[in-house]
Amino acid sequence: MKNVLRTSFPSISKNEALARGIAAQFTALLDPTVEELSDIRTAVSEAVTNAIVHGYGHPNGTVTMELTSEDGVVTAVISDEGRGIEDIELARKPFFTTMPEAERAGMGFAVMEAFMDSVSVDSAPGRGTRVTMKKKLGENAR
Amino acid sequence: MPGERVSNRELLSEYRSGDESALSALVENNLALVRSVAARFFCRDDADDLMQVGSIGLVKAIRNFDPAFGTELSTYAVPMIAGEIRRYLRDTQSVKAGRKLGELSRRIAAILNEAEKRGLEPKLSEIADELGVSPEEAAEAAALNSFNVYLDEKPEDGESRELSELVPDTARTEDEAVGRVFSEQLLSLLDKNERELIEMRYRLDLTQKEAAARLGITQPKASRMEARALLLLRRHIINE
Repeated sequence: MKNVLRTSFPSISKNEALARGIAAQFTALLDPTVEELSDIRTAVSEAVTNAIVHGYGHPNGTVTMELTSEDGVVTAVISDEGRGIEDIELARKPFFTTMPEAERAGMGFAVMEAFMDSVSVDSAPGRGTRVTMKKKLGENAR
Repeated sequence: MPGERVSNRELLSEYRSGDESALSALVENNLALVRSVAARFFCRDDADDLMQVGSIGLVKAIRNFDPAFGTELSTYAVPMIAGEIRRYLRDTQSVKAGRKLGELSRRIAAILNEAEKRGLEPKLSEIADELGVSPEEAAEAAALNSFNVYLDEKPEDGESRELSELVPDTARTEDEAVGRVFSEQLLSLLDKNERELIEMRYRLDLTQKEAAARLGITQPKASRMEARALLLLRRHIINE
């Protein structure tokens, strides 16, 4: 049975924890393993952090998160109307960061890609960013 | 490292012959040890507190240590550091997280440990049933066990190291950056498999598929292992 949750919130730091909590509770409805739950929680956290910190970098933006579950697949779409990414391929490389002074280790996309089955990024400078991530539950990694 | 052991030995004998000032030098010398033990217990908000508490364990170890034990100070100190931290977590984590949630998270960790030994991956509903709570509560409790560092956690300004030391500016090659980040010291934080995987992926430039094949594991498992290792490394970069 399909389920959808759509939420938007201002681009403030405390909403990162809120968003990952929401994503975790949404996923919990599908009876995942604890690892699957943690994976989705972490990947969503990275995407939301990117939107807040890179997309906006100030508290006055709006971040939208849409969660869908269908046939055991969880899809999370996190979007912002912020700066946008100039070179998506470069941004997705591990350790690439535009903020060396801000102690962010440039691994956000690497983490998203490792924990989710697929990650696609739609973005352009000045046009915001939309990150779509999917994970099928019940795919045993052992 | 040989250099460290010699100075531990010297400082210890100074301390044991009555020089109290050698104590602080000994603690300084061994903070990395405290960090590596505390790292096993890291929860979202606790890093600094755990370091402080762990250092108390180190001091106790230094005070009690006798070279006649026949071990290194560091070997002796590890259980004492861990013991202090466990005691602290037992007493306070439940207060921070709510007594029930803290207790639940520990029980979940125990269930998962047992399950892993038997090669099982329990579902949330099974865990919730065993604990007698709702799946929602179990999901929140499980989050407390997360060893992930989320980027909205900021280290204390005085303590953190400039990441610009570790991350390249645009003029440097990615290779050099990867080499610097994956220094021996950081790699020693990983277990044998994780270390092999990171080296295959980032030094030898193997694909995940190739690396997984060499390790004899499935690709999803390798992918997960890689992400966990990267998170662990990042946590240490940010918290050092």
